Amino acid sequence: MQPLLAVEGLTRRFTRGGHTFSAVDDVSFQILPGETLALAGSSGSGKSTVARLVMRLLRPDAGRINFEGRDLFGLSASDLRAARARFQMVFQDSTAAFNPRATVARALDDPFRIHGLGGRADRPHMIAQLLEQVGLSPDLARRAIHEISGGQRQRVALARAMATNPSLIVLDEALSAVDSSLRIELLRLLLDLQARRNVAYLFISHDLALVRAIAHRVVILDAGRIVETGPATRVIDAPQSPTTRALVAAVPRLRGAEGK
Amino acid sequence: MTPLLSVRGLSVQYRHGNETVAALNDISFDLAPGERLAIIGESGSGKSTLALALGGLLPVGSTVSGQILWPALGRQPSNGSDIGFVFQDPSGSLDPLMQVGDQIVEVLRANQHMRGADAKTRALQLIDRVALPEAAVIAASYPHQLSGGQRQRVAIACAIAAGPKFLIADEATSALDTVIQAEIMRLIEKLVREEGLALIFITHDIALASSIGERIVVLHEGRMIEMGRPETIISHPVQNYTRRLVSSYIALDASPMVRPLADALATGAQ
Repeated sequence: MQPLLAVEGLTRRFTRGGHTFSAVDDVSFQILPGETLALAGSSGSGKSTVARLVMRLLRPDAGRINFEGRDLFGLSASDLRAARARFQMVFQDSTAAFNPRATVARALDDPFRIHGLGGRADRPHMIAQLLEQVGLSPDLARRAIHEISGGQRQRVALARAMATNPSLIVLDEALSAVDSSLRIELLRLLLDLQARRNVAYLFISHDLALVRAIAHRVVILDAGRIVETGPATRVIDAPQSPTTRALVAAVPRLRGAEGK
Repeated sequence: MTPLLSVRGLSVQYRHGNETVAALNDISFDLAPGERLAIIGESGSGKSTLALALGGLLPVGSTVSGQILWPALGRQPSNGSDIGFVFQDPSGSLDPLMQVGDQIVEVLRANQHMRGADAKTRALQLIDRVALPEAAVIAASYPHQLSGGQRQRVAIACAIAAGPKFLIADEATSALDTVIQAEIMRLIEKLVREEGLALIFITHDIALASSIGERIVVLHEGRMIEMGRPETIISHPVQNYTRRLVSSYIALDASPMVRPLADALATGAQ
């Protein structure tokens, strides 16, 4: 099967305090349609830089990204605009990702309008459907972004990402800032959407327990380089590299849950 | 033992325009000197209100009833010298325009009346104490030149600078990645043990609460719904809410929730 996303030899350097360092150093991986690949590592490991490169928010110093069979950095401006409907992103802090005074309807109408999906008369219905897909009441459409709860806002962020029927969603620590009961609800929602729409996820996280629950495969990054990769359960249950071992050891354990 | 802290029937209400919102409702518990108490709650549970109430830091206009007593102290505590605070965002407690060494000196000057070379030497010792390398280099740094984990260590150095016997940590590791979080947890545990500090550790993460607390208080919608030893709370929760908290926790040995990729590929090929 053709990979949905093929990243090859990706390198991106930054200069800080007169020193040049590689934030991403010769990184290669592929994602199949409907697959979840996790990118895990500590702060500064380069995982968010990879996300920004994949989203074409940054240009690499070397390497290639193929998405749906086309070179992402070879697209013309208009081709890129059209292609953006197919790859979307959800951030950790959905408060910062929205205009707080916009209504939920407005936030969800934007992708339809920008990508010319549906007629003006159809859109309220499309927005209601989107809200239902992410487990929210269509009545929420009239509320302002700042009036809804953090959990509802993260669902709206996911709804907005799904609006253009993407084949890939980059989730950058999208479940990291939420309470555990909400986290498991959002996790189920992501898996449900994946099963129904066959969307692939690039799931970025520093929490290997979360990675193990949601991802098919994992890539472990350290200082911009891939140190380990494989099926998520295998890599996390039997870590080979010191980086992975440290990440596994750092996951908080429930005291008193032994043997449960 | 005479408790360090006795909270009796504490209720806090905030005013929102013409509405009053109950943030805490009839909270009572004791904390012994040197005891580690974890308070677990989700957004809106009132856990941060409790931290602010203990430090006398509630916003103007909040209505407080009930009592916060300090039997072992025999007087009202003073923030800094009796209570140290560590918050989620160290950037919020550090002055961005001041070298961090000077910020620790400022705490020493305000609470310990320490001056000049003595204060500088003590500040360097405190930077060592929170296990930051090259104390002199760190002392001369501005907050933005440090990583998030280093900034939180500096905030902890400020919190313990004046030698308090009571530390309140409010989501102190929530903004950090798991590796740094584990390091900060170890540091807090070490300081609490070695300095004999009482600790209130406020978190939304039940695993962290269970790992650091000798007792856990479960807060839900401003009420204290359960209190007990971590082993009991985790394996035999009494309240439905606590059961839900425990069961929603995604542990490292939980069954993966994702369906096998072969199934996904089969669907995709249809």
